Amino acid sequence: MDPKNVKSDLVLILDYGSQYTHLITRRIRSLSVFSLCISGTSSLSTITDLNPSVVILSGGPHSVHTPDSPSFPDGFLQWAHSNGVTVLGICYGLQLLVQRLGGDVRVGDKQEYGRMEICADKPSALFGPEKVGKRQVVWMSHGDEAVTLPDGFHVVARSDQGAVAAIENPSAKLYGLQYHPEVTHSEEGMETLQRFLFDVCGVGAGWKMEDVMEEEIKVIKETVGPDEHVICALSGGVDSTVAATLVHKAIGDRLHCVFVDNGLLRYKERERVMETFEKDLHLPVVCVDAVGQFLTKLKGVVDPETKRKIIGKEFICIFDAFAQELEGKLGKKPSYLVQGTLYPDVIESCPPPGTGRTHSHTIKSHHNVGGLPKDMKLKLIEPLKLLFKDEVRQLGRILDVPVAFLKRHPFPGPGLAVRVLGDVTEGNALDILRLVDEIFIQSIKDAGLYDSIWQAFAVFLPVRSVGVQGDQRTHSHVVALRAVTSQDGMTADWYYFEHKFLDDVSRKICNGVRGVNRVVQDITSKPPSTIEWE
Amino acid sequence: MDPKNVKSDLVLILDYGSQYTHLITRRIRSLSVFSLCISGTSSLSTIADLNPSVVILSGGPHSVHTPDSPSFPDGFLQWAQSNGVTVLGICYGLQLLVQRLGGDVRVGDKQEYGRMEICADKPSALFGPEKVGKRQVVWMSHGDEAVALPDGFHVVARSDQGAVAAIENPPAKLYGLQYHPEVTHTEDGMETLRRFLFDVCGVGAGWKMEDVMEEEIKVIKETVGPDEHVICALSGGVDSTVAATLVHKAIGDRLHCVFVDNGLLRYKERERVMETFEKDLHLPVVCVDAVNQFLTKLKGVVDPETKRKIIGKEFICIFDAFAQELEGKLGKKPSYLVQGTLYPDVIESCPPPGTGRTHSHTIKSHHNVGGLPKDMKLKLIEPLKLLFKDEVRQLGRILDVPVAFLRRHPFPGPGLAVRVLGDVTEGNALDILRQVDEIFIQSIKDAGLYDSIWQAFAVFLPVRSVGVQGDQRTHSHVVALRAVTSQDGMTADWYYFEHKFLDDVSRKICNGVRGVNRVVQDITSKPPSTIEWE
Repeated sequence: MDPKNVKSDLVLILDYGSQYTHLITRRIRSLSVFSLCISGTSSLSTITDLNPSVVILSGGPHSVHTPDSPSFPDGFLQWAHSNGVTVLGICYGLQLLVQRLGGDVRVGDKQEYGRMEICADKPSALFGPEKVGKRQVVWMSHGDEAVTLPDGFHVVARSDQGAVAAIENPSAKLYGLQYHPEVTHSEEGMETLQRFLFDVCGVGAGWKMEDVMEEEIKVIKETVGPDEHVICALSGGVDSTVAATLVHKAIGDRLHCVFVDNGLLRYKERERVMETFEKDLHLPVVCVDAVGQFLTKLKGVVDPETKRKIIGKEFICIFDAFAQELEGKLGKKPSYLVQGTLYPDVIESCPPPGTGRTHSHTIKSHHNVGGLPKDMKLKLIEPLKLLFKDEVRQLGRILDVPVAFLKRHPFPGPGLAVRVLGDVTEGNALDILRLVDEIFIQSIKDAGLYDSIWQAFAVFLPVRSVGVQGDQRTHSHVVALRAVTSQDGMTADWYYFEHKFLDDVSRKICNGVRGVNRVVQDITSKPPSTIEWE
Repeated sequence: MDPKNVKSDLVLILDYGSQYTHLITRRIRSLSVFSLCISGTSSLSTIADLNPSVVILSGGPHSVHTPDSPSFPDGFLQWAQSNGVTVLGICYGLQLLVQRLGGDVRVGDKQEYGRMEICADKPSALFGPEKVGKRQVVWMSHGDEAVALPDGFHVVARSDQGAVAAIENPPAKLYGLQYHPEVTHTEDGMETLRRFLFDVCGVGAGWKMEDVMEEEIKVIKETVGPDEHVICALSGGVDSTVAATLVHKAIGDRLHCVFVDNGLLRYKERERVMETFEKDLHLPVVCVDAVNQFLTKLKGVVDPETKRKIIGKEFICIFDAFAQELEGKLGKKPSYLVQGTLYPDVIESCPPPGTGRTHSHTIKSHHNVGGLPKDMKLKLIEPLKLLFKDEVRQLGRILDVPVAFLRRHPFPGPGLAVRVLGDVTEGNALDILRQVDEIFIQSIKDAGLYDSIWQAFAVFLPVRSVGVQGDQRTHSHVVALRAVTSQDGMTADWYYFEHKFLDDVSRKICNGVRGVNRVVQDITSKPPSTIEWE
């Protein structure tokens, strides 16, 4: 999908490194307004090429007084003015506006972090008459403060401490908020954003998933043409499945999918996902049984990074073989590879300014499948690359992908290889892990907790401990249970189950899985641990 | 302490294998009545020699119709009658009475297990007028039922299902309960026991710890005489400490104690226990630093049983050396060894009938320290061998042993060697474990939970997992936290901490202990796991 082809008003966010930038991009989408996020130091031509209706300057950890602090390019404000583009500065973004237009930003007498209260003292573009005199709870995170505003600007709200909280220059279409409206803690933030976008800027709510889907199908058809073939590796995850389903809807059976059973799948995973692919989605999928190949190569391997490399390499061999065989059947090579790249993957390819890292492209695509052979030379089709995860799920629903499938938790590429600590081929570690994991996940579903949890799984530990079962002493394995809640996988909190749930699951596992006599629960957040153990 | 020397009425329990037999023995003690427990198939002379005022026949898993079902000896009931001894049969014990006196016991129409309700239909010895017509909640566990009573017996209470719940033959001083009054779930059980013992049997509440202590001091003095010396190994635990303190009170500095630092102690354990011994208790204790000896022998050892053997053997060498050195100083060998044997240790030396095991002595003493050298030939002093654990603590309080010391949780003999899974000398496993354990235990104490928990500790796992700390990827160790509640250590439930407590402890450990990036909690009960991991 090319942003220029989107027939909807664009709100462009210039990213100055705030931890909330993804959030505001997503919040705007949730108002059915198309939004994109690019580096805050992008060139003027990059900005103008996208033809935004609104530009939002994000928050960030910098101070405008630091010599190399990031900023919008020269001529940006003049361009915005002459093209009727509205600009909103948030936190650091507000300070950028003030400073570059001749105002004065200084270290505030009082720092303002976290929950604060503000009040609008007169009706304004941002705050209607119903807000005047009424306290609003907001989320702030700033030390600097605008103390003198440039010509044409007015303060329209202040914090309890008297600091500037919101400013306006309506005739120049310039606005500023010294707090984060996109954060949940800013209770009326969405209301303010809504008013700003629809009433102040007059953008249309044209970003609808049905339209996005139709547009993308059109793009795929035009790109692939009437004769070319497309190849796709299905992992069993949501992204690749939705991407493949969309392409299949566009070009039919000129899409060729492969699902590889690497012997590292969950309990009955192969049967379950193949049933979804074939019976629910009617996708043309070849299932390759490569269990023997993978497990043979993994025998004796303990180091997790070595495991990953072996699995990745073996996958490429099998995928290459699949492509070769397909070429033999078709009489020509497939030209395109479907990739389930998402927008957060794209954004993360553009590190925010100030982090010391740079990027080589404004929007960079990259492979989900690492290191395809050089001679494959496949062009990419990335139909989801402007979508967030929940938008992908929304698209999946429109495409009739089963809801239970769309709600599945993330699963690592190497599969259970990173959940059997140590040698995956030792004893019956994989079988034990599958059974334990199944008991755990099924119990979570039975308790109605699955959708409240971001990710949950069992881990097989290379540890035996003493137990008593019946009148016998046992010396069996310990397994770990992991369940976390998270917004984006970047940070996560471990899930606090009820006592009875954990006690029941623990007993069910020890009674039902021979070879396990002790169950532990991971009670560490990310950071300091990661969600997965390896 | 010889039971014959106890100047208090004795209630003797004949054990038929019920899981609650220990409980009733202890419940009776808690009424300040002396109780003992011996095998239900003990000979008549064994019973008569103890001169009990009351005999209680315990419950058990047998049926009186099984050919070799255990029973009291021939002539027992005649002896009881002619000596004015009252007999109470509980569950299986009631059925024994009924069957051997010519009544009829059959498989009941309805089985009765768990919580039931009974009702007394007229005043009786067991149930006063205030109980008539009032429902009582009781705990039952029986399938057989008394359907025809022997001559002289009357039903005084029935269950909701009409089955016999309590019977009496007051002229013959014979009583029966078809439920367990000693179990907590039997809400009026203690009241019924009290009425039975004091009002029906007229026993005196003469079992007081102060008297027990004075009597035992007298016995120790008589046994040791004016010139002999006594040796004692202190483990840092409650039992050996109270035993040593009692002996010290009796014979002063002719007691010689040794405390061995085996390098497997908890954080600052050596300093803490030595301070208690020297400053609080003024015991004559030599501290032997044997850290290197133990750790050298344990290097590379992974198998838990091998660890135990090495530690036990090394301890004996050091103890023997201590005794040799003492002999050199005294000019003669010490004659006695103090052992902190408790009454449950004694009872367990007499396996209940029907288990297929037999015992060689009615009351058998055995070493807490396994396998002393044959040539030591020390006679034993076991001043606590008729006491339960909480009685030992009570005795300790009278002896001014610090309360915090008396409340310490159980700690395994091999120390942290069984809490570092794998080789204890690898890396800095022991140091990490000490720090983690200290954080965990101190947090429990700070939260006021220490006395609600039977045992709590950390375990070092030979497992590394991936974490993120700062902006770095880490590959550090996983530690496990274990906390259980229990009545006696035979079964245990894992402790359900509050969310905040666990989250705080987990963060404190990962932030405070270098080398740990993941914390798990053991959520398995005993059975199927044991409290300790090895």
